[in-house]
Amino acid sequence: MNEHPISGPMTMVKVDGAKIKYLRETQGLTQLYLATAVQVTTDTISRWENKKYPTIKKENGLKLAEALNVDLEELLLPEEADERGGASLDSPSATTLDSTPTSPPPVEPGNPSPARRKLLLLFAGLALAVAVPVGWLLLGGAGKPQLFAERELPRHCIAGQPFPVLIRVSGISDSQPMTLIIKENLPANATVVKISPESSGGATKKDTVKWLKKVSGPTTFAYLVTLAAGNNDSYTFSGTASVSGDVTLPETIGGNHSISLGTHHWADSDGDNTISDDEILAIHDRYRDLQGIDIDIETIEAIWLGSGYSWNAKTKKLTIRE
Amino acid sequence: MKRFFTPSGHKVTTLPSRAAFWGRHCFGWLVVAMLVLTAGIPQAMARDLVSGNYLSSSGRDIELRLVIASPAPTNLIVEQLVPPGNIIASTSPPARKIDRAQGNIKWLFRNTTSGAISLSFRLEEPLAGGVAAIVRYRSPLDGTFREMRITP
Repeated sequence: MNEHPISGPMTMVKVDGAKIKYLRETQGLTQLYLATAVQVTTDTISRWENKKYPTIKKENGLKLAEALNVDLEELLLPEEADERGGASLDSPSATTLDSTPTSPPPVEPGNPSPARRKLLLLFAGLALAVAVPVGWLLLGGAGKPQLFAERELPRHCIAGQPFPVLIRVSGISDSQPMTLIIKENLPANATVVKISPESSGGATKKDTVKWLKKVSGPTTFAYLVTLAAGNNDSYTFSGTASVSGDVTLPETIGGNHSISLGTHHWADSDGDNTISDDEILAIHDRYRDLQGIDIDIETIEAIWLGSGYSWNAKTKKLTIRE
Repeated sequence: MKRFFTPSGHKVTTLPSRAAFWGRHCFGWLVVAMLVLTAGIPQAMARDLVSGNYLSSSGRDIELRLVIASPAPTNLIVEQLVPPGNIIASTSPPARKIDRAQGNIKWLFRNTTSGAISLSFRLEEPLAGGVAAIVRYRSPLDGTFREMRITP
């Protein structure tokens, strides 16, 4: 599907098949993992690895490099990498615009006037703007299935205290399982405490959490993480999601991506040193289906039932007021 | 439709162009269709998913009955307010918190399903004053926080 050695010089790149195989095997990754990450078949990955210098789409090259945790340049042949530097300066020849002033076309008798035509166009535009979403809703969003991946990250947390991060993937039907890759990049001061579900493939490093999972129906990926005290006030989480098959999935995981360190419990979302009824209901709603991740609901409920809490930074203990 | 007279005095009537016809009529129908389709949504989102009434609101035994509609809120908090001075002896089901000084009983129901729930409490002496309850939940329809007050 990707080996059309045509198009412009920026579209195709020549990669080192042996290097791909070497990098994949040394990182303990499977061909299925790469295939899902690049959104090609395992046969294609196998073909790339076994061909000496396969020519592949640059877009796929970039995905491949990301999945192998290297820069694209590392996968390219030396001369290809050099050419890329020069080629990036190339641009398609500019189209010359005819700047000769033109007089407006004469209005034919019997035809609607320009003002009327504008009005009709406006009507048609409005009708389309209404009809398209209505039609889409009525037909259940025909066409390619649309998948969504959203992160739920608390607004704040206390240094060294674990908090949960959820990644909810929706849009996968129960009858059509799909292989999904979720890759989360964590701040450098993060330590992963627990991951759920356990990843069946890929790899998890200190600052990266990866899942390779065959899923059906809405699925939640979760991890418990702590942040060590650092120089910054807030820290950023970022991630990508990719899936096999003929579906559309926004590559970047949406939702919250920033968390700040402070003295407020992660479940105290408004930072008023209490956990209100609304907050406890939100916690129970959000985390009720979570398997294998202990969010310490006993402490959260104790704060809710009490009249407040305070964090002692010296003793690193939470005091709950009765 | 337009009407005008020619210089010779004949009345001429012109029909609107097809585009103008569709522009006028089709758009109108689309708007009507949209209104009809979406008319029920706000009401459905706004309706209370929990209702309740006191089966008994005097004497030593006070009983509140809640009816949970479908789709049921996943979790529910019920706060029973009792005038201070009344001594709460027991609750059923067991409450999560009893603040005897403030006259406040709190229940948290998790993984609720549609149907009826009965909550009761017993006082050491017959009730002095009136009771009220506050039910709080998050709507499964739109995730908003809802609060409702029940009085006898």
